[in-house]
Amino acid sequence: MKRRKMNLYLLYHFKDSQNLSLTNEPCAYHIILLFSEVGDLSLADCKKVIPELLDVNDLNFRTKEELIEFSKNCISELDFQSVFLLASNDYNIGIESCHDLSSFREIFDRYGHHIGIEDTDQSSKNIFGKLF
Amino acid sequence: MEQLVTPEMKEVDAVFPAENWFLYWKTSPSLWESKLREFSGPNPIFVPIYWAIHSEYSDLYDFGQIKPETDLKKIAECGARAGKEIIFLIGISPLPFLINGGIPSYLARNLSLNKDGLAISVIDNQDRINRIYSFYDPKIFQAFRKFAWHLGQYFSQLGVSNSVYGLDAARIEDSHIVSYFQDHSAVFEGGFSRYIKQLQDSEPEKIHRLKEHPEYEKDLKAEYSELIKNLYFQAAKDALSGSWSGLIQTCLLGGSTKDIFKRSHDRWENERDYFHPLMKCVVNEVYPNSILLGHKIKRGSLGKAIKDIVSSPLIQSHLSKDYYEDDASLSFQPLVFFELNDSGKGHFSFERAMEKSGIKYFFEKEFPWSYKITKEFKLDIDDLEPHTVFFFFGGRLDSNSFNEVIKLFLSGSRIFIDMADLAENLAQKLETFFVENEIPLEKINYISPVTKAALGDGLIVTYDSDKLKETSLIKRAGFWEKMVNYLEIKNLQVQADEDVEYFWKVRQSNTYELNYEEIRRVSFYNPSSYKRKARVNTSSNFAFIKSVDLVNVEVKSTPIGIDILLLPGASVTLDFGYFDS
Repeated sequence: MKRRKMNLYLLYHFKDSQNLSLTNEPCAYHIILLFSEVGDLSLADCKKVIPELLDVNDLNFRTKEELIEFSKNCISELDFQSVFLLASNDYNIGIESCHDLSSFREIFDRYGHHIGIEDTDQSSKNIFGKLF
Repeated sequence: MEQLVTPEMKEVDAVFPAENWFLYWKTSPSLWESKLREFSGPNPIFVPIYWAIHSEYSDLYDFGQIKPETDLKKIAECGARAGKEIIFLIGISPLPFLINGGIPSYLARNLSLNKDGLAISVIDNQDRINRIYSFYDPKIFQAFRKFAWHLGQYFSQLGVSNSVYGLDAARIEDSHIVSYFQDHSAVFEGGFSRYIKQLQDSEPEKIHRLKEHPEYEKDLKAEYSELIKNLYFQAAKDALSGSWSGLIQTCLLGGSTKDIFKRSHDRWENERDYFHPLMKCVVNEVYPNSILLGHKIKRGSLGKAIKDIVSSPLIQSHLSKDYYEDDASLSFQPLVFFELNDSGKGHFSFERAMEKSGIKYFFEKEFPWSYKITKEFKLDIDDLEPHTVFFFFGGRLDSNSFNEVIKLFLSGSRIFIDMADLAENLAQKLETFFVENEIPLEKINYISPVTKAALGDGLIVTYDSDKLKETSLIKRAGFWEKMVNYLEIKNLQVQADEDVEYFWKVRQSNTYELNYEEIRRVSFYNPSSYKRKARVNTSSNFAFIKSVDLVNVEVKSTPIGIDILLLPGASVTLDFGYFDS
């Protein structure tokens, strides 16, 4: 599928270290939803980025660097224009001020982090540190 | 170049946005009677009571005294004059088709969160975002109790005698039907912590168990949630005792967490996505509701399917027995070959249990949607369907429900029992029962140890899902094929392309159909944008009677079956007579 003009949206839940120590889970970033304008990202697509992945629900990352790396690889491997990352807490703040579809569509843009093709290895620019 | 089009909202959509739901605040009271009179959908008409418009501020209650659109007595009178039966619904959970879930805005403080920590919200049929607030907030409960009391007083003083049901709204989340009452927010967690502290004094054995088995917390949370939900239920029931008729659980199509993202993208949302949730509601005996979906998505085969499935008999089956028609058996009802039962307490996932044993895969392949899941099994010998096959899960059986299973067997029913997690004393009790009653047993070992006990028409087959889950899905399906073939269930085989959805119904034959024992009805829908095919194979015990409601479809009778060609958006219904010879 030609995705050059499409964005990928990634909604994640961040478990802080206090909660992590209680549950013994090694991953801090759990992906809740991963989708584009036309639907969920399939397992087959995810496997192009992480070949060893068995289930989309197992998409977890230990660090924010891993999460960003995954997002950049999605742009380069899956041909997306950009990736919007949004934490569940920020989503919950954003939804408080939403009343209609147009304001809902802006949540990722207003409260999330944007990674564009210019941020990938293909580009000489590096805004890695500016994201978080 | 894209054209900008102003969305057109017909008034009928706003007032009657779903099957038989009347939203009185969406139109002028002067039009209520004519709107109700014009409505041609199924009876009765449900009127959800919008708490927030009757009580905008704390301790202010308006039932027509200030704003005419809050006059509930007038709605009841208009309904009576229009010849329509009006049933009022009071939400005992958040109602997502209303702003803030229906609660007054001064109470909208703590967002309800789902298991992933996301704020629960929906897009309604007018593309408005409705957020849901936690019903575990003590302030909401106190205000609800007062509101219900004032409503009860109003009804009794003004002689409004229409039935009132409690309404519990739910959605489908990861294949499970989840009430909007459920919440994972800090408010819920805070309440749960207080509950645990209280248990330390009142039921220390539960705390002891929790310390030994941390996974028991899930059951305790379900218990706490049920306790609080019951407070709302009881408050409404007590306040409206004169009119109170029971509880209805409705599942809102398009109301899941993912749906809000899906529905915010036109290229993602597809009517096909709502077929399985619709049928899942029927299988789970939950009233399906399309109130959140826009008119556009319901125009094609989805709208037809909703109309076919959410019919008067289905609605009446969700109401108290007073509403049952005497000749209900002569109306088409969902065809049920298998009934999966639960009588246990605490959290239980039928999905997981069905997946583990492979029944889910087998049913989807061979008997799609021709089963039902009963959450609270109660034996009613008079109402037993002779052909239904019952399933029970060992871990959910206690002494009482075990005795009910035995009674069911003795009354001639066919039963499967999953022995995994069955308490040892009950397993022994079952063996003793077989020995004492000299019931011959057949034992085989085929993937799982299987024991078959027959007495007259009664049959018990035991199996072990722990053994089944160790094998492949194909082998598990093979296991169920062998087991179910033994039961000789009379069924018409359907071959259909992947996108084609179909649903079976059944009714008794009438006096003009004496050649048949019953009439089986199958409805096909093609929600895809492509031509699709389906075939109902000829079978010795069935005769094709007629095809009805043909939309964009070609039906051809051949020696091997009925061939159907479905164009995009097509739907058709076929009737077959069943005779036992």
